Amino acid sequence: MAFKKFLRKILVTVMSVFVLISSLTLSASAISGIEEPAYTNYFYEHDGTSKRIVEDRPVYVNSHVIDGRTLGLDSFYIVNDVYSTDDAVYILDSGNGRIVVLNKDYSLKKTIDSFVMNGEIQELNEPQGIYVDSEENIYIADTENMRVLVCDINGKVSQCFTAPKSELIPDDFDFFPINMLIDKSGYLYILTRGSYYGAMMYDLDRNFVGFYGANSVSVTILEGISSFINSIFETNEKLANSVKKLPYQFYDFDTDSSGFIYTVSPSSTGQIKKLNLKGTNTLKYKKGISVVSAESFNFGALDTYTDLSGKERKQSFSSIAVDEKGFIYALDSSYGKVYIYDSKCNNIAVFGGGVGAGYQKGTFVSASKIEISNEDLLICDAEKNCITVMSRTDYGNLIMHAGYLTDDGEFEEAEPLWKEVLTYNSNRQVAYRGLALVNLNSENYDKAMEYAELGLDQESYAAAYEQIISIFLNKHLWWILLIVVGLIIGVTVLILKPKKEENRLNRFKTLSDVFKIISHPIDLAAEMRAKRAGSLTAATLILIIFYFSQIAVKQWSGFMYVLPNSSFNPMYVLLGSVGVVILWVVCHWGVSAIFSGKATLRNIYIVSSYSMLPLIFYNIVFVVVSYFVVPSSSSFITVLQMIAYAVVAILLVFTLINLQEYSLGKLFGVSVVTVFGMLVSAFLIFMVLTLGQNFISFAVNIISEGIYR
Amino acid sequence: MKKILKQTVSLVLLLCIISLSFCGCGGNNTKEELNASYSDNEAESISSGVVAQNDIYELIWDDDKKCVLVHEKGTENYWSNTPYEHYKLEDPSGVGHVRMSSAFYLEYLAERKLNTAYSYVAAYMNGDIIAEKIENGIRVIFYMSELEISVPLEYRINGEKIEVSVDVKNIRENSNLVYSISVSPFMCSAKNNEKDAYIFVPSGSGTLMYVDEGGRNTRTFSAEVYGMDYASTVTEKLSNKESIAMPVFGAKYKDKAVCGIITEGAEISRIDAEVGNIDYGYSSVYATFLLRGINTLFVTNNQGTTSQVLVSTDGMVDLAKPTVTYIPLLDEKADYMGMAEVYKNYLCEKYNLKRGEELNNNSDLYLQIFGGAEIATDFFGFAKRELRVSTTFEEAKDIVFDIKETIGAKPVVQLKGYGHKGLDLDKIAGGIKFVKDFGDFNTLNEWCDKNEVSLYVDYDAVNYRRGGLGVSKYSSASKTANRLNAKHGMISIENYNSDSPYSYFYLKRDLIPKIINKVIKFSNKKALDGISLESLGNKSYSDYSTQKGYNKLGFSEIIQNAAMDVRENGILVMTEDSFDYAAAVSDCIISSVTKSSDYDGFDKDIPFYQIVFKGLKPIAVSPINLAINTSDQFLKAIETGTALSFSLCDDWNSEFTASEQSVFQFCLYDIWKGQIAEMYNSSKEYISSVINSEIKEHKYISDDVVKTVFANDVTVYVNYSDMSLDCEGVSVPAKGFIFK
Repeated sequence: MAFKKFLRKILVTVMSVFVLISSLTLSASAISGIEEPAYTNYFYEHDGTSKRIVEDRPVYVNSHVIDGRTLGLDSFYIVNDVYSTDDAVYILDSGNGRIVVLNKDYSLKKTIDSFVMNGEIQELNEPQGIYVDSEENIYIADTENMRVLVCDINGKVSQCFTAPKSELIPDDFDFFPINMLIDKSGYLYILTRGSYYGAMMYDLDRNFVGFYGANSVSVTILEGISSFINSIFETNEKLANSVKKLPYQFYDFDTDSSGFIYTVSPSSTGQIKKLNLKGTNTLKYKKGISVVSAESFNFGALDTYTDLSGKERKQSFSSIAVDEKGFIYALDSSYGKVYIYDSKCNNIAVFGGGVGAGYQKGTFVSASKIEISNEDLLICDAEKNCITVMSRTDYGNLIMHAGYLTDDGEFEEAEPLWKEVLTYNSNRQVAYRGLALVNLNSENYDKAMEYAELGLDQESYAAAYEQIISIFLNKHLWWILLIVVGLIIGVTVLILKPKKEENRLNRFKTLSDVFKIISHPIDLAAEMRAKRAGSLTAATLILIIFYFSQIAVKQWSGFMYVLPNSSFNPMYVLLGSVGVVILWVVCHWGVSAIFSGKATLRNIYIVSSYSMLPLIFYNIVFVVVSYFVVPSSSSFITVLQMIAYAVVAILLVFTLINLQEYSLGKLFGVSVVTVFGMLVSAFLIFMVLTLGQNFISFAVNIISEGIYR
Repeated sequence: MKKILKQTVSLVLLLCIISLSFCGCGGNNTKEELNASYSDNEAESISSGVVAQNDIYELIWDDDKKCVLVHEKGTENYWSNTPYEHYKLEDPSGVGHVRMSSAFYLEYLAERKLNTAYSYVAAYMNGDIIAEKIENGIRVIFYMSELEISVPLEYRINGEKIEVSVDVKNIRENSNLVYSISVSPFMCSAKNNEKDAYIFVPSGSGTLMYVDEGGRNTRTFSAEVYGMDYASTVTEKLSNKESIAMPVFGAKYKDKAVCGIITEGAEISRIDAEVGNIDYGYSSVYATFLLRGINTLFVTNNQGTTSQVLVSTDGMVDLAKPTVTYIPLLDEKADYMGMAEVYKNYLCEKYNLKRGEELNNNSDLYLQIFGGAEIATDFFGFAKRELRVSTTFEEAKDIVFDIKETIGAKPVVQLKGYGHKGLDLDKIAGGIKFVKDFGDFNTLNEWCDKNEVSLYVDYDAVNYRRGGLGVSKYSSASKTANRLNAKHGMISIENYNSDSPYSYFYLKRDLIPKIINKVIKFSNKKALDGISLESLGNKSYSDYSTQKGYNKLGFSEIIQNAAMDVRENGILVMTEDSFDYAAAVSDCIISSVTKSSDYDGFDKDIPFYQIVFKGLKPIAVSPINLAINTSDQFLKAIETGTALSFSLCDDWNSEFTASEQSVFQFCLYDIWKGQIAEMYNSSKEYISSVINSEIKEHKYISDDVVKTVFANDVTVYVNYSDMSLDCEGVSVPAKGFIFK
């Protein structure tokens, strides 16, 4: 008994220490690694559940700046847009009401200072956007004049779009055009300021035909419940005055060579969309081994910028450009950053900066527009009155070309490029992914698996592994079949052989009790009531094993199923496994005490812990199987998991009915109340912990102040 | 009894009121006092005319315009704060006139907010200006009656130099507190849109700002000399900026130039420039002396509104006369090469450096080898951090051996990150030990000795995160202006937020020598060739626990003394990307900066730093393999004839992704050895021919081609473009060089 007590104390101490250690996280400061321009360069690497930042060499650097001086003109004044065609670059110098046309080498070609419509000179009023079609017609979003002008290179206006008269146009709609686009089939799209209906679409005859591809409002379950409750209790007046959640408007759009329209919005996820003809978002990204919609994908920063006074500055994607290979270049005007993604939403690079005060080259004060010209990126800054030309570095060229070739399935050509990328940065996930694909394609499966693991590419890893297994089975199928048949015969013989000696388990009463819950749960419950059967120590040990088996599933499972997770926190596992069981035990005991239950706290604890055995078994099987079975053939694992949960439920029902002396219906009712009680208790615990944390933080602050002074 | 009590209380209250009424007056001067001091001076105020002269100059005082001019004898050259063309205007006016006629700009604190005053408005129009003769010069006192501040400036001529000093000890102030004084803002200036005119600012390696106006926005630049003050609670890094390593600046206009050197008080100064302003018609660069420590606090009221409050030190810096020395340059000397020459002469005089002598321990190849770093790992799911080794001493030896064997170089080697937590901060100077995980140091050291390879070990004697070696975590930190511990958090490269829980401290300045002594003892024990003091040579910070430590003042002496102590023990000193005072006292300089902070107004980066130190000290460029563009970085080394440099490690594996240090993924030796050999072999002959030579001439032949001539008449043409170009009869290959 004393030993048991001692063991219990040890266990409790060890658990506490583990919990304490796991709650501590340490970190260190970084020395500067790579030499960088004025701005930081990095990319996001996905490591399972989250993404993390990896410092990188510059993919683009500022090569030069286009301003009035370099062109021999007066200074630009509020450069709002730039558009590049095959032959020229058009700059919308809004403040000066002119369009500056450049050759592709950025030398001055022409300035369009005056716009004539029907013999009258037209003054532009804060124009926001410019677009040039294949026939060199220039579309100008003359925003504050509420019109779109179409003119030629000499400024002669041939067409003017104002707000269309249509039943489809809502009464409160204001026509403040900000950008235009003509798709592959010749349809014209006009974006208007503040409109959440989508882009205005005009047919080939330039008749307004409706709105295209509006963003939708995403409502969380909590928001839905809250809205429902409000609709019941709030007065009509209050409801009418409440803030409605409207969809985000499109800030900019662009089209690729396949005719998809890419849009950008300042939302918190799904900022970038790739719309098909119907206006449906077709952009997808790889999440583990499945490919899912990018609606929930965060294209932006992990965390928001907070200034020294504690004020947050939210990110705002405001412009987008797409190259002919479908690589996406999105501009965040709030932080002054450019995000580059490949067609599968792999982040290639993030660079730029300034956070509204970037007076160094490659940083921005008020970045307004991004455009692609050959391989250069042109970025307008309305405040700095210039266009920054960002050119690819050698490293950038390698990454982009390797990406293009891989996308096109030209793996052999891509391989040396990816390898060279790794000489510049050994920690380039996208290069490892590319090499995994290359090796997979060239049937070099071992290498493919090695690269896939480094690139955290579960899909390629599983595909390569499947091929290896397939080859192995093809080679050794007869031997394997023979071994399996032999094993089956052996096991059958063992089972049929008469038992000569008593089950060894019976020699150890406690162990026997533990496994009795599987074979004879009702008997165990009866013995517990009658003879105080069961062991607290064994129950605690089972809980500990359960906890570690959960850890094993999350941390030690095969790469095909679980990615290494740098933000793994064992505290959450503890709360999600042992914590839930303990909470269940306490709440069930409390509730059953009210509903005339006969079970003691000890007995509930023991049966609840013992009932976790099927889950432990499943966890162990999962960890082992995850190394051998490819995800595409893993449906039996899911079935096994469901069985394990069902067995846990059955065991609890059988034992608790007997211990509590309840009917099945009553147990169900009590269990429902228990679950409700668990939720309430969890909420209270959370509250207490939060308050405690605040108090500790307050105390720490006071102590720190004292120490500092 | 009641009466006595009442009387006692009344008496105490009365005493309190009287004493309170005197509070706040201590240390300040009443207006009457200030006025009194001026009435004394007024009688001695001098009239217009020549007040001092030497063989070269006449110092002239214009009492009407209250302006000091320096006239070069026998010529029509005048040097003044007010550009001479503007000075001669009969009826000048406007914003530009206010600025150009101001002998100084003043920033002062009023109700905890910073305001700016211009001496022309505050003293000439709304106050008084008095001049008196002093030895070789003139003392001008500016009384700003509305601000109740008076500032004395002293102008002297000393040979070819014009010196302007602020007499800090005699500055008078009342409730408005002087924060900074910008001296002679237009002494170094150039008329806008003038061809070939430029402003030189020493950002990073140095840069030129062209003075065009109208075609682009006005360009400004402002940065503290020797970088930001780390003893500041305001820590926000929104972009990468190169520090000012040299307190020198200048302006070129037609065939004239003026070079300004901050000869006294460089540590407390800032260099400001304003270029292409259409309102002035002139562009200028000038020095600003920060006379008080200041810290920004953010105070949130009950309504949740946050406001910014400035907290300043009571007293001013403990420096009598911060001085800017101007050296006018003419004709062929009137360019940045001429400025580099006068600055080099100034450094040689100040630090007793000899020119034209053979440099000891010089090499054409420098290697920086990284030991290891901590990684985040787990023990059965529980988070922990442990050291991961990237390069053991044995592997470092193999790398150096391999390089020596394959390319025949005799490199200088710097070891970094071999202490307590590798490259990560922990105890001060990495605990001053080699962690056993890195293997046996003696084998490497003995091999280096035998093969005449100089070996330096780097110690961070500035930053620490944990106590130890006589350093206490909290009480050994330097203090900020509001007396808190100076500490910094890691800045996120994503959103620039400071990760405060992982902050590290700045060691109290008077403890640094003690740590250096411990490093010396350890180095002697290990028979080390040299010590590398990276952080001490390229960081500078204040300690507000003493007035002597305000605004970084006196930090340069620490490394100068440290270097002296190290040398006395027969150990060499290496500095990295170091400030001029550290570079001047070191035995070699590695990772010398080759670019500027890239501000919008910077038009052409120049290797001013290399031009100054080449030939004075063994010098290497910043590591080529860590550069933005490796081929351009190689060419930058060629351009200035400085040694090549590479950062290397032996091992990188995916475990290092869990490290805070990203450097390992960029510098694997196996990957870079081919390129090291290629670059070294292609430049060996040229670099060895100019390794000890100073740079005599440096100029841009075109946008992409640079010509450098060395003291031994070796000339190199470097072509940064993608196509081969012909210059001065020489065909320079694309992305290549040619020397003769």
